[in-house]
Amino acid sequence: MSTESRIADLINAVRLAREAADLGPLLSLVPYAAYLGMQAEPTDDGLLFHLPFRDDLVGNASLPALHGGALAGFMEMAALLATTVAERQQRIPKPVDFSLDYLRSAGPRDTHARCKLVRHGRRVAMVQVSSWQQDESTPVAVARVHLLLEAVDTSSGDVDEISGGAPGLEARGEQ
Amino acid sequence: MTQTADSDDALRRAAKSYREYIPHVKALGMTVSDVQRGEDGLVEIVMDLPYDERLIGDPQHGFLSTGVMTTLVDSAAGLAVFCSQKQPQSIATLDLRMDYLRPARNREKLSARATCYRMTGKIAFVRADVIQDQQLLARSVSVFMMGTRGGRRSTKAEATQ
Repeated sequence: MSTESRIADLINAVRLAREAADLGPLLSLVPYAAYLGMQAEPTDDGLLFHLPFRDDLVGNASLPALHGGALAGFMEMAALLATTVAERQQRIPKPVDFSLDYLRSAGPRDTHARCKLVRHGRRVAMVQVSSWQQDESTPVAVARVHLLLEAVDTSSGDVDEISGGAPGLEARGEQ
Repeated sequence: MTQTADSDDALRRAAKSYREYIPHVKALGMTVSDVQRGEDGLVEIVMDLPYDERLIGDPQHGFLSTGVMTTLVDSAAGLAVFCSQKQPQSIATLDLRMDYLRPARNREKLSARATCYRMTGKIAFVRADVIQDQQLLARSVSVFMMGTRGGRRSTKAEATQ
């Protein structure tokens, strides 16, 4: 698949998310999101993400409790996808760092997450993620991630191409 | 000398059987490839994750997701803490930080080297690196709590919370 068609797929998926309230295409485009079984829907309060419970997401089987890493992966992916849609990105943003606080036991049931995005200039976003099971006011974990966004030349609408393979990325010191 | 060798073997066996008790670790095919106990009695674990296309986070470049690196670190760090304990207590991750230095850009396995470097009665400190093909992809610090009711404890009340 060519770079152009991959970008086109993402642009189309973002458009469907924003205009048709359909997150399906975007979620199925990102293998890890599909592997986790993530779902999402738009609400008045931003995108609401879901991680339906599955036996192979369990960490401590004796409790049972959701694996902390699976929960982290879900929250980070929620932040990436929420930002891709909100900021109309043509590529999935690049995580720079991720900080997670576990607050409560996450049991064998569905988990939900919501994100709050703060822009830090043109290229950086800070996203706060909160995840919960029974009640949004008693989260199981909260996280904060910094993302590097693609540079958009707003005058022409063109995107600064930050793709190519390993050599292209190595050359750009900021990454 | 024999006693040390026996307990090292027991440690290695316990660490390698870890995946049998953690469904998500087993589902991802993670395995323990090294276990070392330091002079201070604290343990370093190396855990591997085989490449899998289903774990890609950036579909345009084929990079494995950073979320799966976090899963690998959390698992390796948790095991390092568990193996470092003098008496077995329940453990739970309190917080975990990841710095992403490079993307996972090829099809080689990921490895996390997690070192428990300080343990008090209630708290354990771990640092971990994620490596692919001899390149450092991510650096992490995490803190675990032990034996307290606040974490993921095996009481009915907690489980039905």
